[in-house]
Amino acid sequence: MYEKGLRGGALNSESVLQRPFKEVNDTMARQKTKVKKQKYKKSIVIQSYVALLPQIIGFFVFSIYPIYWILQYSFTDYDGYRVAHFVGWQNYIELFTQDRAFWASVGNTVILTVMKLVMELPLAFILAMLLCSKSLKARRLFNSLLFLPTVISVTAAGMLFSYLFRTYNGFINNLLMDIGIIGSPVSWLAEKWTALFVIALMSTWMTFPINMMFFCGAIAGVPDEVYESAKLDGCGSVRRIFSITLPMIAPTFKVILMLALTGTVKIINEVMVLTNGGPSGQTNVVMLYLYNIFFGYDLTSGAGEIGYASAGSIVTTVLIGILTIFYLKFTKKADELY
Amino acid sequence: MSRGKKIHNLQIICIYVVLTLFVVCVLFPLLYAFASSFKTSGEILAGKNFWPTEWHPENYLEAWNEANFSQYTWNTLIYASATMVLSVLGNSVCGYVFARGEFPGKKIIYGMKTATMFLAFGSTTMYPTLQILSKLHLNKSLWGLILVAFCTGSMAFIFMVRAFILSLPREIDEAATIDGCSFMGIFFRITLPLIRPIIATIAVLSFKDAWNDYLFPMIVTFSNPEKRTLAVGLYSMQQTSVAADWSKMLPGTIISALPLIVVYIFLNKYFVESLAMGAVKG
Repeated sequence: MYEKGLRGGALNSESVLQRPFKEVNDTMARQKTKVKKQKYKKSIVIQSYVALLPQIIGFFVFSIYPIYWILQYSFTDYDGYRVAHFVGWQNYIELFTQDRAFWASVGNTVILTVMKLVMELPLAFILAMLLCSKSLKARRLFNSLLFLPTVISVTAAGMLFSYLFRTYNGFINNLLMDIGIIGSPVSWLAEKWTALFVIALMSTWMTFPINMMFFCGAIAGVPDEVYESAKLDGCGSVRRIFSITLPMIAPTFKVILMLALTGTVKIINEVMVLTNGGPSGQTNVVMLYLYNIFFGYDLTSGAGEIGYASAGSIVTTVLIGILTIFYLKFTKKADELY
Repeated sequence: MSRGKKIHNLQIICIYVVLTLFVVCVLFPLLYAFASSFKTSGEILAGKNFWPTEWHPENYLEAWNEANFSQYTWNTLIYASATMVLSVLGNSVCGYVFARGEFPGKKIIYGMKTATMFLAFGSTTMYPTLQILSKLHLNKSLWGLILVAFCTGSMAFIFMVRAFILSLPREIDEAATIDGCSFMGIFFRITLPLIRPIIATIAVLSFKDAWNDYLFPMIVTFSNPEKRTLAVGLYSMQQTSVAADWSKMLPGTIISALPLIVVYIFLNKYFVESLAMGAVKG
């Protein structure tokens, strides 16, 4: 009896001891299934969707649909008024075989991009090196002053530069004539090469502070110890820039170059305000060329060769895509070389 | 030691001189235009001296009244403010939902929005966008552009907001949920005040971009000159004047740039921050 009772008691106590664990286990398991079943809380789901709704609609209406639209109309002869006819690959064939102006504008875009990068990146790098020197007390002041061009609109900048570079009694012409570099006034914006130069210069003026800031961040990231040890090894300051700073900031440099490159190939505003493609289309860049076909040379007529321009847009986008991929591949190869 | 210090001092002086030279070069176009904006047309054409021999502030009055810059300024102010408010709202809500919301399809939507960053169509999608706006009868005013800005948002802003919110402790949200705050209630009452620095950055950049934007505003306001913004007004002034009328165009340029320069002087920390984001905006 006693034994039995004891045993029973023992049994009992065992079960008593086990029960709470079992219960905990049970509730945990139940909670797990609950979590699995109701991973999403209904009210949160609804509120999230409602909050995102404008963006989702906007994504389809203003991001995806225009691309689809262009793709679709690039196979038609749509002109903005008459019914569009399907013409197959005709626009593309015409673009590749007959349209020299398009390819000239592509060429100008490349020239402009190279000009701008050659001016902008060294300038931004030098300024960043100067601004980064430890002993500079007035860094914030210089930084703020150098950043000022970034708040100027492209139309205002166009005014400023066409005023500086005007042919008769323009400041630059007067200056160059006083020094004796040129004998007679140069019509900067009326010649292809000088016009492209002024456009690149203005574009540089408007965006170099951003690249300067990127360089500043990269340079600040190079540890001092590297410089110190190089100094001990008798490394001169110029050598230090080329052997330490530049290789150390190479990853950032690639990103900066990438952004500058993809930003500049889409250039349109700067060209529009300074030359509007002139003289006679010689400074046309590809985006401006397409814009003019889309909207007609003056906005009043409203008739452009929409289908043709659409085909041009597709080709341009593909070209930019190829450029980007090529660039990424190339930099990867360069990485392996080092 | 003293020789080293001397060299060091010389180096600093060199840096200061070079930087000052750069600053002068960079600011020169603005200063020159500012000085010239007070000259008479004759003096501008002669182009002799830097400062005007006689100051003519009435150039500004002419631009302000006759060239309709008062109207343009007002339009720009409304356009830029509305764009700013809506893009702050749209982007911050979006960033919050992507950070804290749990709903089916979150990853897909997020991925799709990110992918659009890499589509380099540039200004070529303007025409179809205009077609859509004309279906909505919004192609003749700036409101359509404000709608587009609100609905597309900027992925760079969304990234920033999302990253910032993810760095905030979740416990605050949970405490608020227990107190009976709804999901969006948490955003407006708790998260929004916490992400103020980012809001300021977004506000500054979207305001600046809208203020300076001109290609699309020019297209939608082409038949409606009364609704033009400063950037558009300035451009059309440059295009339409037969002989370059600098005594009107230069004050116009300064009028269009000055408000932002003033804002920049007071908020330049946010401007500089916002530009780093804007560069990767795509």
